[in-house]
Amino acid sequence: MKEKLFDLKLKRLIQLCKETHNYKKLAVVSFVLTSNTVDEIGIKLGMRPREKNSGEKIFEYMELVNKVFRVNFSVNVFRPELIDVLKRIELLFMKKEGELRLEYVKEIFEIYYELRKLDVPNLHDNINSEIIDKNRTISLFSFLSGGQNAKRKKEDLFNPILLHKFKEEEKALQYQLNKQFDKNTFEKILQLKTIRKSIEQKKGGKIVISGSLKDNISYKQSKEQVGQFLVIGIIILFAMVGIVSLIEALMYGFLSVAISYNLLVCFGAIVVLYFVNKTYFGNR
Amino acid sequence: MTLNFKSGYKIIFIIGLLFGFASLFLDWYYFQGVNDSGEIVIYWVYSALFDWSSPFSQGAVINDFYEPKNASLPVAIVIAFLVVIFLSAYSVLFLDAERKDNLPKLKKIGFVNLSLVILIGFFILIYPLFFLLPNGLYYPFLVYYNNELEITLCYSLGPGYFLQLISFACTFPYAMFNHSVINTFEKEQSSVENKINQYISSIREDLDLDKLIAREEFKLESKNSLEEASMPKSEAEKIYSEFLTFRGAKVRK
Repeated sequence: MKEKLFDLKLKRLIQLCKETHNYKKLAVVSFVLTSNTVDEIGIKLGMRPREKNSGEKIFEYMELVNKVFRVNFSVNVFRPELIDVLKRIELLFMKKEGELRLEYVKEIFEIYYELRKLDVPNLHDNINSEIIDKNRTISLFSFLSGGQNAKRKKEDLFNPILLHKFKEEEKALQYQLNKQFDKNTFEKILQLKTIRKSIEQKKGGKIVISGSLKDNISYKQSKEQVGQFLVIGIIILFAMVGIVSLIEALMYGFLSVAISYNLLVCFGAIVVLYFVNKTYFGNR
Repeated sequence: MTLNFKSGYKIIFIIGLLFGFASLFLDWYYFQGVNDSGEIVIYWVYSALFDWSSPFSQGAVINDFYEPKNASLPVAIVIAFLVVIFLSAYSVLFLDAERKDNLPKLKKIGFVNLSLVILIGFFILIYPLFFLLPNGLYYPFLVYYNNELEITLCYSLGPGYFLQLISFACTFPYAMFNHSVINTFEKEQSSVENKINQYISSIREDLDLDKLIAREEFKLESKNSLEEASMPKSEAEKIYSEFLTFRGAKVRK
């Protein structure tokens, strides 16, 4: 809606400038619009903005963005032909101090609209949590459930296969992207790369929530774990009392008989609670 | 008013905090000696805040002889426990992880609840192991008759220590749950997106299209009016033109 209104205004301005033959104004407007769009694309892709004060030209900045993305992803964000056209007209614009023929102004507007079509992802945004969740094999609160080491080992064995799959998919997408730039494909490449890096660095992925925590399904499920924590807390409590009693029995041998009741109660309760935990929370 | 599952544990946590706080003002350990005639000859009470105390004045030989030495918790730890209780109370009452934007704040003081549980655990485990048992103060309670002195000695934990046990059971579930929530969930950096948008608009070169259109229109109008002035009009045309101007519906040629 905002863009539509903006386009209508721009159309009106073009009409008026044509009538008044004020092509200089149109040229300036077209370059300002192009510059703003290129800046926005660059920043969204994680680059610095164009250094206007030090005289960095628009085409130079576009070449820089292309160079960075060619090195990292083997992808050209801007079409090289587009940069060539812009370079020719921009240099002319600088030389003639804004006095451009209408056909050049037209070309700049064409470039502006082509750049506007280029829908780049905002790399400052976090990776979509759904994708992480799909690839997440680590269960919530797994540090409290049994068989953790075996599970971790299995995950470690599984990771190289997963990494190989990711690399293969990344290559296929890169090939696809080189043919034609597409926002979704580009986003997919970035997501794959981020996931691959996180697996390689063995960083524990966190569940990213966008709104309120209470609306998150994983959080709602994890709420049931509070009960498990209560059982674990009581187990620890009995264990602490039991340990003190045990040490006391070792320190004062004559108390062994009296303390044996304490020990029975404490360690018996631990065993019972262990089975309670396993029965009610073992599957989670 | 309905309480959800988590709110119940939150209330239990608050009860645990209150018990933990109250325990500091209650007696943690009793050590008594009663002679054959039923007269109390030894009486020592330990409180975490007020240290060992006895109702007997100095000079009561047996009582002084049995005074527990080096069996007091360091005051610094007790004060730290008090501070942690207050911080925990603040975090649980005013920083609910479920509410929007509280998760990053909770991350900053998320260790407080965990510290509380660790400190209570310290009192439960370390206090008897390092302070009671080495001084011959038995755990949890013992009554025995000393044949030499002909005194019945009673060793017993006080309500303060038992409140610590209850406090641990009450605070552990919610503290651990909060800790795991902080470590499992991460707030999407929506503010980063806003900041990026703000940054983009700050470096964007201003372009007021309305102003530019208005200027061009004015230019065109003045050009047209100049042309009109230079061309002689018939009387009827003039009247019609004035009529249109008056009605505000004059159409530009």
